[in-house]
Amino acid sequence: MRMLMLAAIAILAASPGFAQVPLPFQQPLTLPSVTPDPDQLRQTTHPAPTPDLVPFVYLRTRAKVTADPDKIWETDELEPWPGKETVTIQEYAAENAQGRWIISQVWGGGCSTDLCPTRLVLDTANGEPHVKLTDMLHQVIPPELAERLFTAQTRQNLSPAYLRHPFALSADGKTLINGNLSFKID
Amino acid sequence: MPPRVVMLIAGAVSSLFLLTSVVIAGETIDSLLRAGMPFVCAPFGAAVSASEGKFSTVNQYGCVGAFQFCPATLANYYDKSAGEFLAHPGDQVTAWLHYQRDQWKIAVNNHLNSLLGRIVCHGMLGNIKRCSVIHDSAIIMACQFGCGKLGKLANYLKGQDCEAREVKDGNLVSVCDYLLRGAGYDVSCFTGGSC
Repeated sequence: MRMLMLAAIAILAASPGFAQVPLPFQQPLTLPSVTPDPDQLRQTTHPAPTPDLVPFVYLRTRAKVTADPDKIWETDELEPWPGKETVTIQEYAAENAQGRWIISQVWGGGCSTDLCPTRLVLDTANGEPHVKLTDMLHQVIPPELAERLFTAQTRQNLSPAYLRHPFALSADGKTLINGNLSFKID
Repeated sequence: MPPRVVMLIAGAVSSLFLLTSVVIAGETIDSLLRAGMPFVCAPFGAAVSASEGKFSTVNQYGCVGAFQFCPATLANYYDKSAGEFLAHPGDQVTAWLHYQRDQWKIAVNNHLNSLLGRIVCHGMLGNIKRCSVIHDSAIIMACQFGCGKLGKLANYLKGQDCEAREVKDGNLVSVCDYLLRGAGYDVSCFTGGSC
C-alpha cells in the first residue's frame, strides 16, 4: 500500500498539473539532478577505421611555442595555461582526392579536462590552406606522451583505434569524426 | 497544513529522490573529503565527478580519474604517470583544485564573468522553461566546454543563443545545459581564493 501511494505521488509529481504549482524549490531551477545528464546523451564509442573513413595519423608536436610555425593559428589564438608563456601544438594528417588535410590541436589554457581548441585545414595542391573547421575536440594522445603516461596496465583500457587515429574524415570529406563527436565540415 | 500541500511536498520529495537516484557514477562527497577536497567545494566536486568517473577510472580516450583528466590536461597538472595519478586520490584532488582555479582565471581573462547575474533559459521541464540566474558555479561547470577564447562559453557570450551551433559540442549538447547543471553550488575555493 505504501509503495502504491509513493507511485501515485511520483506520477502526480511528474504530471504537468503538478509542475504548474509554484513551489519554493522551483525558483530558480537550480537542482542539478533535475537536469538531464548531458553525458548520458553522448555516444560512447570510437569507430574502427573502415573503407568509408580516411584516418588521420600523427604528424608532429610543436612543443612550447609562442607562435605557430605552420601558420594554422594566429598568435593571439594561442592561450597558454595560467603561469606559462607557451603552448604545445599537436598535428595529425590525412590525404584524399581533395588534397592534404591537417588537424592542429592547441594544448594550453583553452583546454578543458577533455577538450582542446582544434582546427582542420585543407592544403590543396595549388592554393592556400583553407580552414574547414575550428572547434573543441577530444584531446589526442601523441605517441611520445602515450609511452610516458601509460604503462601496459593502464594502456589496456585505451581504444587502440583512437590511439592510432583519433580523427577520421568521411569519404565525401564532409564529416570529421573524433571519438564520440562528429562535426559537419563547411 | 492542508492535505494538498502535504501531498505536493511529499510528491516533491519523492520526485527528487527518484531523479537523484539517476546519478550513478563518480566519487561521493565523503570520499572526496577523505582525499583532501575542501568542505565548501566538495558538493560541486561530487557533481562533476558524477558524470566523469571514480578515482580508478580510465576511459578509452586516455582520460583518468574522478575528474577524467585527459592527456593534455594531465601532463600540465601532474608530472608523474597516469598509473600514479590513479593510485593517489589526493593527487587527483590537488590537481583538480589547481585546474579549477586556473579555469576561473581564464574565464575572467576572457570576460566570461560578465555573464554573472544574467538569466539563461534552455529546454523545458514539463511545461516549465528551465531557467536559472548565472552564478560563478554555472560558469565553472560550463568550462567543461572550454573557457578559452575559442571555447563554447565565449561563443555563448557573443550571441547568448543556447541553440546556436557554435555553443554546442560534437554531440549537439549545448553549453547552456552545463550552465543550468552548475547552478547553485559554492565554488568560492576556486573563485575567491579562500582555500
